[in-house]
Amino acid sequence: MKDLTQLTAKEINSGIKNKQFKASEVMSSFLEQIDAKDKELNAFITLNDKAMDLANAVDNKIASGEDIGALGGVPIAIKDMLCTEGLKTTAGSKMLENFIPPYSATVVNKLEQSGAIVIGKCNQDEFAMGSSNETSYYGNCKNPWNTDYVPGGSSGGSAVAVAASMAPISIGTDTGGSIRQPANFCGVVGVKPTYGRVSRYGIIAFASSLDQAGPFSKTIEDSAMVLESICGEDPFDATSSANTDLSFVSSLNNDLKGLKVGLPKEYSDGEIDGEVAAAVETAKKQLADLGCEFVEVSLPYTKYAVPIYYIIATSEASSNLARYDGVRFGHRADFKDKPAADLLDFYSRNRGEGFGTEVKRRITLGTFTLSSGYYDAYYNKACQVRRLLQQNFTDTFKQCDVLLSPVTATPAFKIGERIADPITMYKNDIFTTSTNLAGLPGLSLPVALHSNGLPVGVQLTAGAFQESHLLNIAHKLEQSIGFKGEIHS
Amino acid sequence: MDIENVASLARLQLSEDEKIKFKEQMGSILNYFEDLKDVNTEGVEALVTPTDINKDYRKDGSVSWDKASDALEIAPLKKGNLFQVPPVV
Amino acid sequence: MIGDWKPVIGLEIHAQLNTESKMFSNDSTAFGQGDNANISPVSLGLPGALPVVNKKAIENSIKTGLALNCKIRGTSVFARKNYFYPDLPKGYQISQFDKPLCEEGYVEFHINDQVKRVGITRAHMEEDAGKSTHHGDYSLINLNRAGVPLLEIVSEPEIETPAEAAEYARTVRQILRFLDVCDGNLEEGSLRCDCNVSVMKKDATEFGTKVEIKNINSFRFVEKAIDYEIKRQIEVIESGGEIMQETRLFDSTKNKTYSMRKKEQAHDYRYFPDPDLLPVQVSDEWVSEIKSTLPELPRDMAKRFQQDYGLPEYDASVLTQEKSLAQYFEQAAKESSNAKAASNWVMVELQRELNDKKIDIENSPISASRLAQLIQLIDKKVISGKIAKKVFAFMLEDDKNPEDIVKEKNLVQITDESALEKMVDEIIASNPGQVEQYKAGKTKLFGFFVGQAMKASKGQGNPEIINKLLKSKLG
Repeated sequence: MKDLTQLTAKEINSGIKNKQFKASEVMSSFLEQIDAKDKELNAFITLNDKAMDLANAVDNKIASGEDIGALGGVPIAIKDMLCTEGLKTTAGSKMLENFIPPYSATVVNKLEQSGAIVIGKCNQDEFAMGSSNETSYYGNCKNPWNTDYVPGGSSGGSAVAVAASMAPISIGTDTGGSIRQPANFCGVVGVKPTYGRVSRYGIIAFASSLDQAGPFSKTIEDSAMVLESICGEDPFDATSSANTDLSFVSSLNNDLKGLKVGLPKEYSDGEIDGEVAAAVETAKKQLADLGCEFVEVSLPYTKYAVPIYYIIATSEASSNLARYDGVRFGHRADFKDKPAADLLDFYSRNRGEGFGTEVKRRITLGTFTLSSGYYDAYYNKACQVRRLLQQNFTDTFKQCDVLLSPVTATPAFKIGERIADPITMYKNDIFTTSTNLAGLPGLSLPVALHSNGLPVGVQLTAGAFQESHLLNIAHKLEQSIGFKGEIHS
Repeated sequence: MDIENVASLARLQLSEDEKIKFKEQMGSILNYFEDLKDVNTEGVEALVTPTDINKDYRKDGSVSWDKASDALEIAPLKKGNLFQVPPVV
Repeated sequence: MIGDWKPVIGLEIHAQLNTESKMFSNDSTAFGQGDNANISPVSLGLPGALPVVNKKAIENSIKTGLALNCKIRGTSVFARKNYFYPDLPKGYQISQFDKPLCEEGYVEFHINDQVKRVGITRAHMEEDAGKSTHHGDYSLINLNRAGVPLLEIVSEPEIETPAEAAEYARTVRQILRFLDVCDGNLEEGSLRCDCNVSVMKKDATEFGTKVEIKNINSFRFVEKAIDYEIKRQIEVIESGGEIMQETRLFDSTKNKTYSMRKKEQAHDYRYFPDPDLLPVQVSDEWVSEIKSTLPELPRDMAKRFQQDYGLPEYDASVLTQEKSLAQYFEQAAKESSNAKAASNWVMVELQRELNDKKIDIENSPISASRLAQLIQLIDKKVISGKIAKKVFAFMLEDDKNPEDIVKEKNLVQITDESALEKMVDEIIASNPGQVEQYKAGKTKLFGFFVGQAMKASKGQGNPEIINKLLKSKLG
């Protein structure tokens, strides 16, 4: 039989429906793959011990002629930021080492309603704070193309799970590039939807005004299928949108003739790796062949994106992470030998022990930028410039349909190379954070292999709620590029 | 930045090593943020959440949560169904 | 004013809005449930849980804002107030900060025969915290209250005496109850009152340092606590001391305020707009829709009672203390067509009875219709006023209408002149000594004969007829 782990989600679902193979065979193939590879790659923190039972249940449905759903029988790996009822959810932190959520994220419920089976929970930077997966309490996750390299972050485990065929699809979260950057480093597709497209309910918050969950997959089509399942209004999320244009799969093959692709002037400035720039050129050439036209656009405020992003994200995070206090759930220090001197001591020890250094660094920063006397200069100022930046994008999308740019200036870097220097690490997000700040949809599509053997992709960004456009262009581009993300190890 | 004061405001115990490192790093990070000062933002309304959707609010009505007891089970320390903490007065 | 000192008082009233579910989640607000029974991922502050605003809480807040003559903001903003406390699950309270829903209003009330107007700075929505109980070397946390919707009503510092403060608070409570947005129950904590008190010299231009008094659970104590605090502050300053900005609590057994223990550090709440909640948009249409549903407010109702029913100002204000009382009165007045009698019966007999037995007017054993029937029985001379009180007493015991009671107990007034004449004749015949004295000029004895006649008729004889008969018989 064919190696089932190499199939797309679409192929798996239709194969099960057509009785070419069983859901249980699919599940055991992926579990074997995890068994074989994950000791080294460390993409999973927790496996779902009910996954096989759930696959058998799908087979029973098939046997009795029931509908199994658009993702029926498809294993899916979930970033450990999403609460899964009864299945440990750690956010990559010691703080939640023993946290078994009593409820599931809306995204997880929706995927399950579509028939997908959660195979396990993926490694990530602690509370999604990082770009390399090195801040995880559960150890580094490694790039399957070369295990000396980082997989990117924060959704590193989710990217690796798909890249190493340990799951056909996965879910990550993207606050400043945390889906697109690891997708780029691992040679898979990663999509961050428009802010408000996907409910944030049950997704552990890093920065509420920036966070969005989205899929990783081997093909744009698979991502489109996952998005159709997870998008939509949720009564439990006041920022979720009622927008009902969810015809992502059916628009994939629309003709691109006459579409305008914007090339942001600012995104070609600076120190971009030559082969990364070449990947953008390759994409440009293919898009030209598909009938697209090009227009140079200017987004002057994007040069402030990283500072705005770090001020807003850390400010929000300092407040979002206040609930980890050791009272109702999560890590509590051992006070038996040394009782808490007072409440301050109680909290400080619980939190000081439960959080890792990067999380503490960002909470400290965000607490400061909101504090009395600094609020206007930092937090409020950043929100004002954010408005100008968003306006930049709104104006730009009057001139073009999508933006084409690099995802990051370089391919994946080595483990340990940047962890000591926060600013260099933060600057890694230079091309991705603007999308979150403006609330736009964006994706990362693999294009080529770098001479160092690591994949390189491009980023496409569209106007708010223009996912069907974005996926259509990316799908056609994917077809004409024909990048084969197969890892030869 | 007064690291000790900020860390106490955030209820974060920092190691000596973290304090030293943070002090230095915060300096350069804040310095990096200085660029924003160049932007004229007079009269610009702050953008908090990047969406302008305006939906109706939740209709009043209560639902009893069937997982309430599971939720209490995960507490680090309880007495009966109440969360136990050090004395707060 | 005490000597040349002038107190400056402002009140912050926290009113729990009558909703079935919490401000930002669908768990119940019911009082008196089991420990941590009213919880959800949202009120527990579980990772990933998000707030969603309860529409009724906004509507109730707008209603209150309108009744307090406030401007309603078209766009108001929920902000996070960040601080750590075990009964605050998320580590922040969702409140409103620089853009509250209601601003710049006022209330008016009568005090010392004058109308006092107190400005309302703002009224903003927020969620309540949970409850901590203390047990020596540990504390316990119950989150049933966490997330219950509150409206915080902040007055201008325009209150000048302790009595005004209490009257202001009573007036606000009365309005909240008329609007049916808050039950106003101080004991259960659905209404809480914090007082800001400072003193300044009469001719000073700057306010003195203010002290906040928290957790006062009755309006009588509001008055006492402020009174004590004013005297304390003056004494401290006059003896050369300085007032510390602090929070004090009121001890109602000692009639004193005392300082809460010193806080660990200065507060820096790091308010910022809650990114989980979009600004609250309130259209003019929504406001006018709500305005059109506002009930008649107490002061308007009192004025109408004076005009429509000719009640004195005092009666009108007593009867409008509570909406249910006012409604009771008005029904009794209309059905009996005798407002003055209805007002007297309600204010004297009924109120005394209800107060004695601690019964709400809603649960009065005598309905407004039956009280009206009773009044009509008097007006139609079926019974006398004296017998009516007897009937009233029976009505309290028995769920029966007054007419039936009168019949059953045979209490109908005797107006049959020949029957009464017989009684009168017998009395005259059996009291020859008194008759002689009366005739000799001791006319005071007339009362004796009336009493005897009433006694003989078991109180049911028509007093006018008896008088007439006695006068003619005794000459």
